[in-house]
Amino acid sequence: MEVWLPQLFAGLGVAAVLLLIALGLTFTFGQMNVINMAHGEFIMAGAYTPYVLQGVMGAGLAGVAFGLALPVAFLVTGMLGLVLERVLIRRLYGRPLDTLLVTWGISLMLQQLARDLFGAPNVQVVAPAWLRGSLDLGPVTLSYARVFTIALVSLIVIAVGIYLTRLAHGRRMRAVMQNRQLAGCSGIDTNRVDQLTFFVGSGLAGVAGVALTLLGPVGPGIGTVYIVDAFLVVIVGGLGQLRGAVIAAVALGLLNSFLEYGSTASLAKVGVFAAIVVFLQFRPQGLVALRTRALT
Amino acid sequence: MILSVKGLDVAYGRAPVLHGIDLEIPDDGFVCLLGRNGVGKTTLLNTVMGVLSPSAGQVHLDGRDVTGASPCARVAGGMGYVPQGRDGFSHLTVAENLEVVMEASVRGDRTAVDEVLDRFPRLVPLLGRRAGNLSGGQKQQLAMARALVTRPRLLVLDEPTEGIQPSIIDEIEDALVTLRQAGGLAFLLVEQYVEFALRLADTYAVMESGRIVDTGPASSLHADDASRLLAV
Repeated sequence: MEVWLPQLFAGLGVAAVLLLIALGLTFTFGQMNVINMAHGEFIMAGAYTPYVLQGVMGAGLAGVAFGLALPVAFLVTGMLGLVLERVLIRRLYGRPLDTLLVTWGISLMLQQLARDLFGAPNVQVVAPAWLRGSLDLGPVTLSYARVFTIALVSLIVIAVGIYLTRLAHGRRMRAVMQNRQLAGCSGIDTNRVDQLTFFVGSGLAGVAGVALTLLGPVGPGIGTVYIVDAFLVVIVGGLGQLRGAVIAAVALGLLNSFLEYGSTASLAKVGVFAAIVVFLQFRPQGLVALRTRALT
Repeated sequence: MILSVKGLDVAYGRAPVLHGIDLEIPDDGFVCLLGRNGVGKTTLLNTVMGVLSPSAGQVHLDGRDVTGASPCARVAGGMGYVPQGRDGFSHLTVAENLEVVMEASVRGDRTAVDEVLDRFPRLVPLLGRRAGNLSGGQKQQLAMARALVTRPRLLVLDEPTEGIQPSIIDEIEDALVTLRQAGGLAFLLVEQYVEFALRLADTYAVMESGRIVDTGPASSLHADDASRLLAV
């Protein structure tokens, strides 16, 4: 009890971060099959947003600036994604290797842009006063930042779930991703759906970036730290499956946390990767794959 | 004319598939397109729907040139499409399949969904089921219902009887007859089941090697002759 309870909460904290960074990819990669290597840099752009806002609004309003950064980062990175989709990615649909190379190039350019704008050293975002400190639950101590991350990701998962199943655009997006040609021939403007899907997916990366500032410093390379994990969550969960992404993030977070106990962070990472390799050998379609009578 | 196709050439890369296709469908007309596998029938439908771009020629919908228009613009202009192979949005429920098209349509509304469900009552108890889990006949009915939700003026059907049991084919035929009687809707039907096509259509066109080689009133073409013409 004394051992596994703290590890359980630590694992849930890792899971929340994993899910947060992967949610945007469930749209751009999971739904649209676009391998956007610049997704990590959208996370970075989101992470710099509270830093910029706190600089503009001053230290006295650091908490307000942080709260404001969540919607602003969503809009800023959403617009970045929209521009990337309109200018480059839409010309490369059906060419995954070209998309991967082009977006990797964009990611390097965005990293350099961040170095030019903010300098190479990491910067620190000031956490709001109400997110400093921790919650003491006997054997477990939970930092408010961790509780906030878990609450934020829970809210976003619910919002994304409602968006995909209850809202007209969410349904339209699922229709386009399942059968693009038929969607067009049924009157759905597939170009517009692509744009909005990329906007939402990229915007979620920005929100993830804001949350990550509570867990550590922000630097031009912050996106590269998380991009592989984000892709792994989406692939293990099953492409485009919100439920799969949630299960995968929790499973990988807990596995990582329990493997870390008694070993090192590096060894735990090796263990998680090995488990994923073995898992994908037996279930390449991921945890959640919808079964139908048709092969389509 | 609701649809007018003039001098249409289509190629896949450098390989020409359609050559100088001319086709006209009057406002309340019913044209069936007959031909062996691989003669270009589906390519013609895909070009009419805007999925493929022609290398030459024009497509006019209700007098407007839609040659360069997107599929969704053509649907907004009055086309409805029932695809081959009962393709659908397999991970969406039956209700979602209808709603997603209704929401995107300029003419579709909740009444249109109710009307198509009246026309295809077999779909009513299946509204909550995923489309991918329907039987072949149910999928075909859903495909037709989905197209009708947009209240089209021209319904384009690609082999709606393919792989369907006879009783469901009868229901599809009844639905098409009722739709015709209601008026205001023209049809372009690609079909291998010649008797079915000739019972419904008032004009036939036979395709061979990417060309329309014969056309005339459906009543003048005997099903046996047509079947011989289309024999592989």
